[in-house]
Amino acid sequence: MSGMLRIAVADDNVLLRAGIVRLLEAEGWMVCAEVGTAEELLAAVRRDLPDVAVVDIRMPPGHADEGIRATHAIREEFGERIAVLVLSQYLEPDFAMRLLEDGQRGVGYLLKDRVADAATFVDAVRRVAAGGQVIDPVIVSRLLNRRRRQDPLDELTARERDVLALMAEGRSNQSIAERLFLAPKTVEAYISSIFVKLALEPVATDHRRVLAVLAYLQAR
Amino acid sequence: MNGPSRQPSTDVRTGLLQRRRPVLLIASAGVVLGLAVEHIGLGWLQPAWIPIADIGVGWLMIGCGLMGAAARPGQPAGGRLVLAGFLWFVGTIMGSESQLPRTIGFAFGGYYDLVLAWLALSFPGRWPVGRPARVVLVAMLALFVAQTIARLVMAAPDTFGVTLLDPDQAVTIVLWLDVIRAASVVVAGVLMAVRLVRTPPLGRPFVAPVLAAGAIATVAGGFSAQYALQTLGLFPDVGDAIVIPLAWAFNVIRVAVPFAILAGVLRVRAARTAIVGAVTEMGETPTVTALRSSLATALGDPTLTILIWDAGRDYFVDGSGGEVSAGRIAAMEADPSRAVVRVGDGSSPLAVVIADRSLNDDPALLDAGVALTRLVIRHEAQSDRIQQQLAEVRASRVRIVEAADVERRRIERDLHDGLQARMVALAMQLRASERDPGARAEALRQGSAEVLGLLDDVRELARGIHPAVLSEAGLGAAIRAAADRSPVPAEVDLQLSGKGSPAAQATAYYVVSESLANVAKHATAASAVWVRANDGDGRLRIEIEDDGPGGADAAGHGLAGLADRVAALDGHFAVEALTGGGTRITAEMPI
Repeated sequence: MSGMLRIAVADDNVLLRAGIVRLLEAEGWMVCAEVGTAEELLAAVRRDLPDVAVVDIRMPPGHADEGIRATHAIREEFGERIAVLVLSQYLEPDFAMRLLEDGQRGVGYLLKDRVADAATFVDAVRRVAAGGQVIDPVIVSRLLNRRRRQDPLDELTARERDVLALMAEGRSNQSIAERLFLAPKTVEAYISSIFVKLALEPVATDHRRVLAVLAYLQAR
Repeated sequence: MNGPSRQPSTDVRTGLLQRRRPVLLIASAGVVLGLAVEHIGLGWLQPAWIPIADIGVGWLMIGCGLMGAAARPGQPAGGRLVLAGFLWFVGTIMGSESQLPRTIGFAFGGYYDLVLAWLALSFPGRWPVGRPARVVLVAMLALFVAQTIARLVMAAPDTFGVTLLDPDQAVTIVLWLDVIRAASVVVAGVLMAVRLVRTPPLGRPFVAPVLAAGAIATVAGGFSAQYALQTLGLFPDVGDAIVIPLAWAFNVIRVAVPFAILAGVLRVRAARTAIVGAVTEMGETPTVTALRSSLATALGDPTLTILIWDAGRDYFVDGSGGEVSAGRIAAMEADPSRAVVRVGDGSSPLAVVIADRSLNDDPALLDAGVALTRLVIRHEAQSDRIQQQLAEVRASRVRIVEAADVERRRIERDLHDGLQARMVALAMQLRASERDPGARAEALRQGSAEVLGLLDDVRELARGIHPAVLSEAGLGAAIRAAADRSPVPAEVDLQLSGKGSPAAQATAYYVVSESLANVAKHATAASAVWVRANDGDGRLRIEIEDDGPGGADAAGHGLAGLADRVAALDGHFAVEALTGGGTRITAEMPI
């Protein structure tokens, strides 16, 4: 899994981009393209077919949602062959869910500031490259911290809440088990309990799970 | 004087120029008629000054009448004077050699007196002023007609085939009719004199020329009956030495009459110009108090009062602020010596102007006075409103500036006490590790963790200054984000189309975030808070409702700042306590 990765980086902030490139190269990965606009990104992706594209949402000329549109274009053209990690200034749960609906494998949504935390950032790149999902913990905590009257989340134990949070972040059962120092079986048990307590429909695949959880948290 | 002429089109010269064609037409007709009748009637007999004087009076009447009519088209007096001038010529042909013109002149001469009496009795209006005047005028008309018939019969009995009366009796009848007719003319003159005396002193200059001239002229007209009286034996023969000079004196008066009437016509509008004077006098302070005195002077009526409608108390007040009952106003309306005019503004009452009844005689003057009154009252009300609004706006502006200063100080404090302090500590930590190589790795690890923490703090601070979500994802997303942070469960119902100026959106966002913070701080017992927003028909509406204990005071600092902010955008802000507990904050502003 920690093999060579070919990565395209798109961000109009030259300093930040250079920093990202250095981080990635320090992991032993290859940055095959380093661009500052959505158009250049699409051209580079078509030309180089990287494994992962790291995309800033706001880029010239409009500094609005060029990155989002580029992501849609990449997904349309290449499906899930190219993983996309989207970096955003702000965190919109709606947008996270749209990203997930677009394609479940290899998709990530991170707060831009997260780049400063090298370990987390590199981990996120690795996870989406492996076909996983990454949702920035800040979104998750925001959704979880919402107060609701007669909050169904109150039914959950503290452990179950931790598992729920990690699920919403897009982690696999294995990953959750590692982080919480639990056995995989225990994690599975917790997950079943959570779904029952929250009256969530059991989900077919792991990948659809994130969407279901986020949707649940968003809607409550 | 440069620039557009400020003279109203009621200047004689301008009036004549504007109505050139009819004026020229009538004038030429008058000239031709004058010459014709002199030729027919007097045949240019010697001494020459007799026909000249005769034509002169007629032309004078036509000329003055035309000038008056051209300058004051609304005034009937001008036209009537012209008519009188033409009728004057009818009498002149009485001196003709041939019978037909002589008969016509004999029978129809003198009607000018009737027209002049009509003019003077009605001046400055259209119809006779007062019942006695109307009666006298109708009587005069009847007598004139009767006399015409009598004279026709007397002069040409064969033509009319009437041989009922013997000639002497016919003559007596005609003479008696002469006397009665003359008497009625004199009565008319007396009425004019009485009206002149009754006009309030300041109003006299406006009607005096016409009434005085009319009165004297009618005496002159009455004097024409002197011959009849003498013939009937009712008047002693005072001898030619007295009669002839008197006759000439009255003829001179006849000459003066047209001038007097013209002067009166021209001066009537002087009253209206006086309204302009009233406006100028009020000058920079068009208040109702100034209006009262200016209008009284302009209309020449010291008894003039203006009652103002007090909408708050639902009655009229007089100059000293005392109430005037509807009954008293009705009583004054019934009083024939007073003119009472109600001034309204559409369907609502504004004022009542009470003046001498002579105000009713000049409708245009009345209208001008009413219009001026309405204008001044409206102006005063508006002035007051504006002053009030101005004071509010000034106070609000001060508060906004102060709030901005408070905000700035808070930010400076947060930066200084929070971030700066932590960064200083971080720098010291890293510096310390320079000297201690063993601790370096640990120091770097801690240092980078600290920096990440600082990043979070900066993000929070930036959000307090201006939330990035608002500029990038719009008001809806920003409101949802604020709701998510609320410690009290918040439900959001948004119908936003994304329209709105940045100022409106920012204000709406702050209303939501401050209100939610308020609920978190003061209404901790609330179980939930509802946030609604929509932007239909050009207005952005925000509603935050909680079911807490209530009692929020809009004057409380945070919310007062919101009220100012919303008002600055021309919007409304309100805080209401709900029945059954809870508080609702509403803000509404143009998009």
